[in-house]
Amino acid sequence: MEIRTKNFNQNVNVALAMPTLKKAIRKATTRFNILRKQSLAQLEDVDGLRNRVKKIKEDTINNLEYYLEILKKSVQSTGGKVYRAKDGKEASEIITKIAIDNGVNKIVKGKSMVSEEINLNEVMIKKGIDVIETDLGEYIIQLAGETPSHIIVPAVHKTRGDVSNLFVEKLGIEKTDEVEKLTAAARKALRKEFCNADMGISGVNFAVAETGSIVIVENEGNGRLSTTMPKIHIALMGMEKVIPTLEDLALFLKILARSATGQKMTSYVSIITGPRKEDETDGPEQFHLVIIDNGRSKILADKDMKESLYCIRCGACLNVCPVFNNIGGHAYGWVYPGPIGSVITPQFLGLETAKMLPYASTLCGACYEVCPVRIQIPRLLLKLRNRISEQTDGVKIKREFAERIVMNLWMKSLRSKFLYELLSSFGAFITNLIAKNGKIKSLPFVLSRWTDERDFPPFAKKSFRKRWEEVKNG
Amino acid sequence: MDKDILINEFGREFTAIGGVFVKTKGEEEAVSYIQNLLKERNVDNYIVWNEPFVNEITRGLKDIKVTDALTNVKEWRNATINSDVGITTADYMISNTGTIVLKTGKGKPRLASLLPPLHICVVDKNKFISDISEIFESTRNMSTESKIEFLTTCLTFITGPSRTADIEMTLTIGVHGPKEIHVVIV
Repeated sequence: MEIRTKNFNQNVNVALAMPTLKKAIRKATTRFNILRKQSLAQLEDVDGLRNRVKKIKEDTINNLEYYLEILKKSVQSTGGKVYRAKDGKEASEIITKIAIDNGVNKIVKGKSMVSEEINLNEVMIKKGIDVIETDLGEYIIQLAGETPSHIIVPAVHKTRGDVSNLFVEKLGIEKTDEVEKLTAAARKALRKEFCNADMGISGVNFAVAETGSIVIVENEGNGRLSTTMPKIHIALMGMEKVIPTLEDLALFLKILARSATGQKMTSYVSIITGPRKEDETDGPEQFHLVIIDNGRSKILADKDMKESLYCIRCGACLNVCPVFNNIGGHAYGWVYPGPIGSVITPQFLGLETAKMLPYASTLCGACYEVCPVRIQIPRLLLKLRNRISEQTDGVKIKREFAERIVMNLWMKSLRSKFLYELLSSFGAFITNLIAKNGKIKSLPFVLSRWTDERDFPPFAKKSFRKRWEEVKNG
Repeated sequence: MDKDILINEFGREFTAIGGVFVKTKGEEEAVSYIQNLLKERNVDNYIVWNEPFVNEITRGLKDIKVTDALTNVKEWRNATINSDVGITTADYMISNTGTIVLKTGKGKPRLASLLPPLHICVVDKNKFISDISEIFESTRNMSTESKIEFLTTCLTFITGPSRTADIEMTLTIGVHGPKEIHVVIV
């Protein structure tokens, strides 16, 4: 996916200027939040479950190479092939070779975010191999030439009118505003593709090391179709997706759907172990697992940041984030939006390239509260901010003069009781002087950045400390 | 746990997510239900697993073309694409989520429960369990090879018909997988 993280401020302004976008995003996030809450309330011990899945992720990430080795051997024992790819270039080469060796002309794809990291579709299409996204939302944005605005519902920013116009143009259907008809049109068009495809590429929600199984969690059935109808199945996974055992899987299956959409279970969960057997009448003849690094080992080696790799891509953090709810997914400029996006994008792309993202947060902590694997997102964002402000990793920041003055003054005043009280009294005096009807609607110079968006309150006329003294002294 | 309690719980969960849940008193009633359903829907051909329990039932269906899962690969593929109904049984029925669990194997191919718009799952009382963890816990003392065999090449958990809310968060049923699922308890 094209990297647009450097223009974060612009991206945000574009998003904020589209009230329909905000409305669409909120429709999705509000519903997911309500359903998520209801559905988790049905479980006996949600926190206990979260602790357990977090522990599994922690242990696995701390012993990642060990589990990846087991996974590799298990997959091979079932007749599948395993490849390790350092980066997108290597992964694309592996996949291209498999495609060419097997005379592949058409690929059907299930949802795979890691494939977007490495621009897989583009690479394949350049080589003359057709790649068709089969998840309805991804299909829509592929036809439209756009990028996803949400992890779970990537085309939520498009109205039915948008989709209708798109399908009229690309599929030749009659204009309609019935969602059912639009879906039926996509079903028909995609069914042809499933039938004619030579290869199916899927993502991986979990890879179970002990049995060499990959797990696909979905609602539409396109994951099942892309991994059943074509002769070849390639599963693409970020290396952090491995979990040790089947019993571990049961716990993750309990919490993933509920956190993502509030469903007890998604319509389909497929546990795929190797290619089809000789006596089976359908299923792929070849199974390939491509395990991609693409920067994950760097995160793994980073003691402070490695819990970023626990993420199971449920999207719960997006749904509760006040920033995401205002700007949507496109503004984040790359594959992963929302709180988790702000944490991992700078680590994947480099601090300098994505240095605005760790600041796209109020540090309210709502994300941490809902994360099923308890990633301490606010803490990780602060750590990144710290690294950015210390200009590590090639970061170049320009400290504004006004900001320096204010921060310096702030720091000095917090260190001196006298100075603090002096400034508080002064602040109280000034703000009450200029306030009208208890509000300050505009402040001069750089301070106007505050009052452009909200009112500034006058300080209390008497400080709490003074009032406390008075109360104490009767 | 008492099977009837599990069955009723399954019925509630399954119906809530859009499935059709049918309890019958025995083979005869099951056959008659399915025959009527196929007639209602003007179905003239169906595909079916080659599996003893299912075949007991489908043997009784009259005047309708059937493609058996043990036919050759090409014929099966064509049949799955052109058929209106797929009939299978299940390996487990999970009550607390209304989930049908299908293993894959000889005579039990994947597409039967995936391509046709109507999926009928015929099952007996003994398949019902309470929670998904029971399935995985049962493998606890197995060797790795046995676990792999247990899973089969594709273990599928089906919880209701295919769905999406990708367009304007509007729920639409029957995207790529079946629009309708009928569970018939014999």
